[in-house]
Amino acid sequence: MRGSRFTIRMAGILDFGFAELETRMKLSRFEGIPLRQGNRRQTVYVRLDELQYVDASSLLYIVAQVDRLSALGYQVLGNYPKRNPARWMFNEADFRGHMQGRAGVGVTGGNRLKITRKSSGDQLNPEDWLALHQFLATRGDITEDQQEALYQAFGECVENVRQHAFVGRAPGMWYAVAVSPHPSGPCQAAVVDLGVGVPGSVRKTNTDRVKDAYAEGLAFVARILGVEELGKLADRLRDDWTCLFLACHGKRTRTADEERGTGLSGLREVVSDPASVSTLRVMSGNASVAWARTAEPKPNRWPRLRGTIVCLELPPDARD
Amino acid sequence: MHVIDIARDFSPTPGGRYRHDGVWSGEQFREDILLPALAQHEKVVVDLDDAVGFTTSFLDEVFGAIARQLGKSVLERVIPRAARRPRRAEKARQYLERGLSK
Repeated sequence: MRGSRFTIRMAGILDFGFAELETRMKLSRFEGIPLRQGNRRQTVYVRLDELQYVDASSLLYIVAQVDRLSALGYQVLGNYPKRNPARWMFNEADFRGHMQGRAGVGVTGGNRLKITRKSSGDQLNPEDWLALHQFLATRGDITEDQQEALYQAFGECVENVRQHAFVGRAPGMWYAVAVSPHPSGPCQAAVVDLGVGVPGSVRKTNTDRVKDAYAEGLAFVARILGVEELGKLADRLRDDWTCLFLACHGKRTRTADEERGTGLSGLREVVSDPASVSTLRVMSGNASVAWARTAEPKPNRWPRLRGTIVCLELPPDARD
Repeated sequence: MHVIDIARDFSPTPGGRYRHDGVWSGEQFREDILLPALAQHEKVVVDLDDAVGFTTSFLDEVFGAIARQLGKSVLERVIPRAARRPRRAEKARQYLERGLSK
């Protein structure tokens, strides 16, 4: 019985910070693989040989998609990038292990890249994101307080992913990575899932959040959303960008527990500090918000991604 | 005065809020370490210095919940301490006070 084979080719760079449109378009090729039919052997070949650079978020997204296709019954094969640093990243992440279905659940990787692969049904282990602390501790350009705040908020994000990414669905896999290619290089940490993205419950509560924001006189929310009348807010609340923006601002309903869901807003507060050198990027659906100390994000609309990606990036250490 | 060093007596990597969330949770620390200590000692110092870090869920489940449980006396009986990282102790005190106001 003959099988069929699909090829997904990744070339050039995959970097959400530098080329988001290009990166999303390339990664969305995984969504073009049809649902597997019948008993015929079907293979997906992931061609990476021409890939030159991959950021932490894209690496995890590819790993997650390989897992998803394997779970659908495809045999996933592929090759490695020929060039560094992309080759180094896929090697450290044991990408071949993921393709062959032998990647273990838990924390794996080398000294400078740690990858966590877990099911949303698994319990949390604080060591799942300990690598981030270890990388932060080597940085001379961020204070101990900032290191701690980043580590705390990242932990909250991991917890939120586990609790909310697959709400209303069977448990799915989530992934976290912390990578510091060399001591003076950029440090990236990301959490990726292929879950529900912005859940319906968040869109609903945003109505109250936005009203609260108006009540508090937060004029910038209204200005950035471009909404002048409260009655028109409902239209905007179907928008992925608005939901991400408000989630990062931590606008809460009056009834919600103050301490719940502080991951994104906690990270945003740290990176927005005037002394901060880090950037936060959150991507879900067709939107992304990026926070740094200098500017508020602008509304955007990109090719759609499955699930949610949260990425924290620190530039090379200024001391070196 | 009894001293609990979280890193030494519990875990250097404290976790999330509830036991069902995973290991080294705030609920586990409060029920298995802090409450038994308070049953035996009038004052308990909780040393936060050597742990890697704390999620806000962990801090709220330890200090916020113990404040709701003990009431105003908690401010005299539970003393957060972090000589090298004073912001940790400051934050824990905020959770104590917030717990009292709920």
